[in-house]
Amino acid sequence: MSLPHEAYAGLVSRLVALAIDIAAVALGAAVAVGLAVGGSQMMIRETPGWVGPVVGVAIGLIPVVYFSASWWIVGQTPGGMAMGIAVRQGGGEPLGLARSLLRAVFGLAFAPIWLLGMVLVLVDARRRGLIDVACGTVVVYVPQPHADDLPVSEP
Amino acid sequence: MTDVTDARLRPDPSAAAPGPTRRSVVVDAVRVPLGLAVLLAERLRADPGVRTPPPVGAMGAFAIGMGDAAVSAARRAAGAAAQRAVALGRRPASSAVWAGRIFLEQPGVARATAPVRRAGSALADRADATVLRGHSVADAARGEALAFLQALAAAGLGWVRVEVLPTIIDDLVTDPKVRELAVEQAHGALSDAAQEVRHRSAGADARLEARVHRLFGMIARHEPSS
Repeated sequence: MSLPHEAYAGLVSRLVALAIDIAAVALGAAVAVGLAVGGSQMMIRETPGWVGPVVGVAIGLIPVVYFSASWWIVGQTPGGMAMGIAVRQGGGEPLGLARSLLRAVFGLAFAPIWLLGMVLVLVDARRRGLIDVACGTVVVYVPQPHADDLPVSEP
Repeated sequence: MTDVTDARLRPDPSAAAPGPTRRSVVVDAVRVPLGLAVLLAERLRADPGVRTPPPVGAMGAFAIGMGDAAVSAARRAAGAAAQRAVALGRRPASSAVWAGRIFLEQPGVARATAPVRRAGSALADRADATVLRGHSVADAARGEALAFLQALAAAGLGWVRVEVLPTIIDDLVTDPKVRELAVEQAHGALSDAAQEVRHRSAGADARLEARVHRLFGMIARHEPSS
């Protein structure tokens, strides 16, 4: 499937969506740490030694689960939903679990490269970044339904 | 013509109107209905384009005007009739008048008619005083009715504020239709804001890309749309 150039999401929308996602992940990690440490302090009045490694693993997994699950299940992260963009395969199909996981791990492991590779969006015909070229994905604008197209609920 | 201004300057102490801020209103069975009638007449006579009601009490002005008109008409009619009568019988009457004057100027007759003349003068004075008193009573009744209405409105508003509004608010808060409407409006506002952000960001995407292309002298290689 080939879409017009304007159907692919540009750099500004993608960066704003990424910023929203980073904020959401940071908030989730902070809540997880607070629950783990604060809960242990409240329950047993001390922080066991295993809490640190567990929290560290959780903090490492939260972003991976967040991005991969979002792309796999609905094709959109919360930031992407806010900005109206979605990740698809090169042919327009939704991402599978493997490709979603690969994209998340690759992007988070090489986050600076992910960000620098976004410059490619400005010159690529399908507005693909480096991570899209590597994973065979594209980011598109999700068509927004018009008010006239919405179903009218019966009273 | 009765001088109403004098009556306003010298109000009857027994008919003093209460101030508008007076809260404890004693309802007079006669004055309050009279004042309500005055206020109603003011309202009916008020010019729709003018907010302030006419300064003169309509009922009192009406009564006084009717009285004055009647007196003036009576005087004019009496005067005309008298003039005609005088014109017709001037000469015969002049003799009679002359004779009558001579007769009335007789000390004995003057003493005999003095009480009648004093009674007539007193009757005229009493009529004028009655008109003034009526006007003063109308003004006082208007003030009392105004205070009564204000107290009544204040009591009604207090009752509505204490008894009715909380019930209405409770009903609105617990009404599922109102809740659903509020949720829909909030959702619609958020949706509109999100749409605006998406529209602006998409525009920013295109502008940024175009500037980069111009900066580096690139020609956009857009794939043909399917």
